[in-house]
Order: sequence, then structure tokens, then C-alpha cells
Amino acid sequence: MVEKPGTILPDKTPWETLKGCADFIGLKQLLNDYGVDNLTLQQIQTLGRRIQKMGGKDVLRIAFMGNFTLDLLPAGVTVRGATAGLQAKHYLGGFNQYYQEMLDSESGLRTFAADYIVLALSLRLLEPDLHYNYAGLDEKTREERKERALHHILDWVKLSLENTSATLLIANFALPIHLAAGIGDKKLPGDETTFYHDLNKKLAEALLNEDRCFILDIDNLAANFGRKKVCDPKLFFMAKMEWSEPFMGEVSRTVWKFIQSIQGLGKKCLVLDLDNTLWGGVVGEDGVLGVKVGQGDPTAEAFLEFQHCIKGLKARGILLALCSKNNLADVEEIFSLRTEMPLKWSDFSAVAVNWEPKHENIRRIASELNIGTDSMVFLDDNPAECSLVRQMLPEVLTVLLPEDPAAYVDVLSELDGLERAAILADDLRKSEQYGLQKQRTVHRASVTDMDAYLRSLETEVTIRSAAKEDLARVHQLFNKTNQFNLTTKRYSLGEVESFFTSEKHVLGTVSAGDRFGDLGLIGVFLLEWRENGGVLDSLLMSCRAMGRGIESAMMNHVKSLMEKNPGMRQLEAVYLPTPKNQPVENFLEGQGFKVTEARDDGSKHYLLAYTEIQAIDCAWIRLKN
Amino acid sequence: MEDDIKEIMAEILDVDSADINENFGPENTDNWDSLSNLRLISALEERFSIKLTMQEIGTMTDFHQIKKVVSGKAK
Repeated sequence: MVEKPGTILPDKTPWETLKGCADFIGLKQLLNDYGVDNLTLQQIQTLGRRIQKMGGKDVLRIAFMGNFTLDLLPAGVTVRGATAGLQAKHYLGGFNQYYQEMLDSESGLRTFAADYIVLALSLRLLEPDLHYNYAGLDEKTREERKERALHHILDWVKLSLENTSATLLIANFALPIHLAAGIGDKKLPGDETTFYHDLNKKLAEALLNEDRCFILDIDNLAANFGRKKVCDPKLFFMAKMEWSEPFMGEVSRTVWKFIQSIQGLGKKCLVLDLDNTLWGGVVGEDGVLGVKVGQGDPTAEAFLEFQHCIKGLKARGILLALCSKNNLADVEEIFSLRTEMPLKWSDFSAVAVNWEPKHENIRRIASELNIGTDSMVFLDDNPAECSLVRQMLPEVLTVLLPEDPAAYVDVLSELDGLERAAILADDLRKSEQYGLQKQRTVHRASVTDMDAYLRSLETEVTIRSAAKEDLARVHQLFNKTNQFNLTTKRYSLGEVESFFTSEKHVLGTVSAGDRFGDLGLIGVFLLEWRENGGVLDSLLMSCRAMGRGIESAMMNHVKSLMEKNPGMRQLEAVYLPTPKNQPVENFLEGQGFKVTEARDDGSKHYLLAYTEIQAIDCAWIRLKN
Repeated sequence: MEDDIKEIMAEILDVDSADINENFGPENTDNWDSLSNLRLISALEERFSIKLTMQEIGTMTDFHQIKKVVSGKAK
């Protein structure tokens, strides 16, 4: 049925085909063609059940725990996961069993070995007095109840962090729709709305520095969704469902946004058209001063707002790139003359302004930034351009902007792939680092001898065991590094923490910098000591640091660790091929490893005997540690 | 309307709509549990723009009864 990916229009994929699809890979394509947002709530439940029953090996495990009926929550997460090719299996905790199941190591929850645990509690079931008798409680009692609810959750979180390696998603509380004092609430000493705000605030503050905990901001979600639709009283009385089916859909989408981001499946780069995308009008026709962006005109203000919104994404760590059919000189002139624009020329990490087909430019941008085309979003107002890019690069998320620029910002904020669960310091500096990459590339063009180029970079490298504060970044690298990655093993933060504390493992990090600036923490290796030898479990490096010998410096360090452990007679390693990691296919051969077995699936097993250890020359790198 | 109801029931209960006869009830399929019953109610309410009371829901125990209540409400 599937002829060519991306060419099937939504109405050509009938629901029956989707429903009948028995294999997960096929389902991903069909779902993306159909559009997950076109599915009804019933269809999502049906598909969720189908996927739950499918076999599969790389499965993500998600547990849902709470004190009210959550049965309708998992399907939405499963189906959204399927659109990204991530197969999720879920576990639904027993009603009100979240403590018992966490405490009992034989429980369904504990034996499920979840990667993620969602905890959703109903405050009216947890602390009924607060819900039914708010005005009747004195202030002191209310505060006591607030603390009790808070500690009930925080104690559970502590237990979960200790007993599992899962990442926790903790729901906060939606404000009640019926206030005990009605419009008089704000004259109540210790008013009810502030009570909820304070409870949510305290919960967030307590979990702020827990890298494995995230808040599902149910209150904010409920406000956007419409508080009155959050609970269907009938379903609450009949089935203890605190959240209505449509609201479950909203929550599941938010859960998915977190998982997508934490798993490193988010989009990395936003590729933008110019005319009628960043400003109103066409620069070739309306002129540099004629295009609309700025104050004083509704259309111009809409484009101004859109640019502000894009600038906000840059601050989130999303790379920006330009892809436009225009004369470069005109475009450069706009950016230098129209200073009222919040977006500046320097905000773009890559620029392709020419008359080449856009899909070719997008490919070029991807290779310039060393990222996969599947991590790009392309925004254009022209249906023909969008359609061509969609056809040629189906893995790019192509978004056709609506007719009215007033609606642009909403389109952008609906793109779940641009969400980030947390913004790491490294993310904030990312586009700055790619900007430096631009300079380095130019620099390379002017130095012809490779060796002279490498020397001229003045690369400095620090290789050491991971510190506690590195773990979030290490986890991020494990999950998003595709190209320079020997085994592409994805580890949860909990697993990373266990390697960090394990005596049998060495979790090493590599940080680098050069004359252009700091590259940050860019490499990770994981070494496991066995009885008489070591196993190189993982070795990976951010693509922006590739090709300058840092990888050899990292390997030399691993070899020196071997030498310091005289009992270790050999080092085993393996290369596991993926569609993206060809750059390391022959890396180990170059480092002196001997192939012991090459399998049909393309994987290769290696051995490096203690007696054959030799450091690889990378004299142009200065080791700082 | 009868076909619409059957279609909704078939979707939610994951059965063939041809198998739904007048006496089709929870004893005919394992999928008809309390939760799918509620999903069925929500879907019927949405499809026919009606609100069913808890008492009415209590009487809707097979296809015949569902049809009776829904057709009485939906104009």
C-alpha cells in the first residue's frame, strides 16, 4: 500500500488501514501520514491497545501511578511515541497502590522496571477536607494539610529515586472550579486559589534540582484547556476518573513532550524561509525598506511577534537556519538596515540564500551543522516549496504556514518537537558554539595543510571521570549522539547515575575548547572492568568535535587506564552499526584494535591486547588534566 | 442511528459490528468492562450531542437498551 513515503495525503490513509496495521514500523509511517491530531479519542485508545500487544525489542517502559482512574492516559503517550518510532509499553498501577508498589520489590511496578513513572494524584481523594470544607478549616489546619500533601508526594519521590532508575513525571494540582467562598475568595484570609498556587510552587521548588524529576504542570494545562472541562463529574462519581477523557488526551501529549525531549528525539534546528515568513512581502519586489516587520502596522506587528517567538526558541537551544530563494545581498541589507527586527544575522547558525532547490539547501545545512535531516523543522509559506521538501525529505518536519501571519505564532507553539524538558547550560551556549563552528570552517578554508590547520586550532582537551554535575549532560549525550557513537546504547539518567557510583565502571568525560571558544562537554566513554579485562561499553562524541583528533586523545586515555591496571590483560570493544554511525565504522581499527569477529549484521567485535597498546599521535592537542 | 450506535460500539469494544444484535451485552465480549462502558457513554454523548444521566446509564446494559435510551434523547 505504501508507495512512496510522504506522498500519501491524509485522506488516502483510511482509518481501517491504520487499525489493521500489525507491524510497528509500518504503523509509524501510516500514523505520520494520517496525522496523530486527526485521530479521535476512541481511535487513540484502540491504537494504544494494539501497540501494547505488539512485540518489539527496543521498548520504552512507562508506568502510570495514582489515586484515581488513569486507564485512559497511556494510549495517548503510546500513539504519539509511535509517530517517532518509539515503542512504548505501559504499566498501570493498582488504584491507590503507588506507595505499596514502590515499597515492595516484588510488585508489578518494581518488576516492570520502568524508564518513566508518571504520578498523578487527586487532591480531593488525598485530602478531602481541603476540597469539601476549605472555608471551614482554620488557616493553621490548612497549612498543615498542605505540608502533609506535599510530603506525601516528596517522600514517594525520594523512595522512587532510591528504588528505581526511572525518570519521574509528577503531576501538580489544578485549581478547583468551585471556590468555597466564590467571588469572596480574595477576602478570605488564606484564600483558596493562593493555597493551590503555593502548593504547586512548593512542589516545584522541592524538585527543582532533582535531575530525574519533572513537573507535569496540570494547573497550567487545565487553564489553557478550560478548567470546567477537566473533570466530568459523572465519570468521577461512576469511575473515580478525576480527569475527563479529552483532558487525559492533553495530559498524555504533555507526558510525550517530556519523553521526546529527554530521549533526545526533539528537533534540533528550525529552518526558515524569509519572504512572507520572517517579514511580510517580497524583498525582490517591495524592497529592503518595503517589507513589513516592525511597529505601526498590524501585518508588520504580526511578523515582529513571530520573530520574537523564534528568538525565544533560540534561547531554548534550538538552532536557527535560513533557507530562502533570494539574492544574498538583499537579505544581508535587510538584516543590517532593519534593526527593529529582533532576529539578527548572527542568530543564524547556517544560511542558504540562493536559487538552488530548497531540499538541497536543507541537506547542505544539515551537513554544515553536523545534524541529521530528521532533526530539522522547515517553515515556509509557499505550498509548492513545502510539498517538494516533504516529498524529497520526508524525514524533515515540513510545516506550511497559514495564510494569516497572525496565526504564525500558534503554529510554532504547537510543534511538540521544539519543547525541552529542561534547558541545560550547554543548550544555551549551543548556537554560540555552532557560530564558532562557522568561523572554524572558514578558517579551515584558509589553511591548506590539514596538520597546520589542526595545530592552528589550539585545541585543549580535558579528560576525566564524570562528576555528579556532569551527569545530566552525559545522559543527554548518550541519548542524542548518533554519528560518532560506537554502540549507540541509550541509557536513562538512572542508569547513568548507577555507572557513576559503580566501582566496576569508569564513566569518563571529555571537554574541549580551542582558540575560538569553549566546546563544552563533548565526549563520553564507559568502561567496564571484568575479571581479567575491560569492556568498552560506549564511546561517543558530539559531532561538532569530530575530525580533529579528540577521539584519539580520548582513546589514548582509555589505553592509559588499561596500563594503570596491570591485571587487565585485554580490552574488548564492539561496533554496532546504525543508519547514522558510519563515521566510526573503522575507528577502532585505526586505534590498533584487532577484529575478532565480523557478523552479517555489520557489527564487529574487537580485542586490544595489553601488550599491543600504542598511543595514537595527536600532538596538536594539549591535554589539560 | 442504529448503525451509528453499532459503529461506535464496534470501535470501542473492538468487535465486528455485524455481531451486535439486540441482546448484545457485556457477557458477549470481555472488552465490555466498566471503563469501556464509560467510554461508550462519552462517545454516544458526543456523537448525538446528548447528556445521559447516571440513572439512564445504569439501565443501558445491552444494545437494545442503549438504542432505546439514546433514541429517546436524541432528536
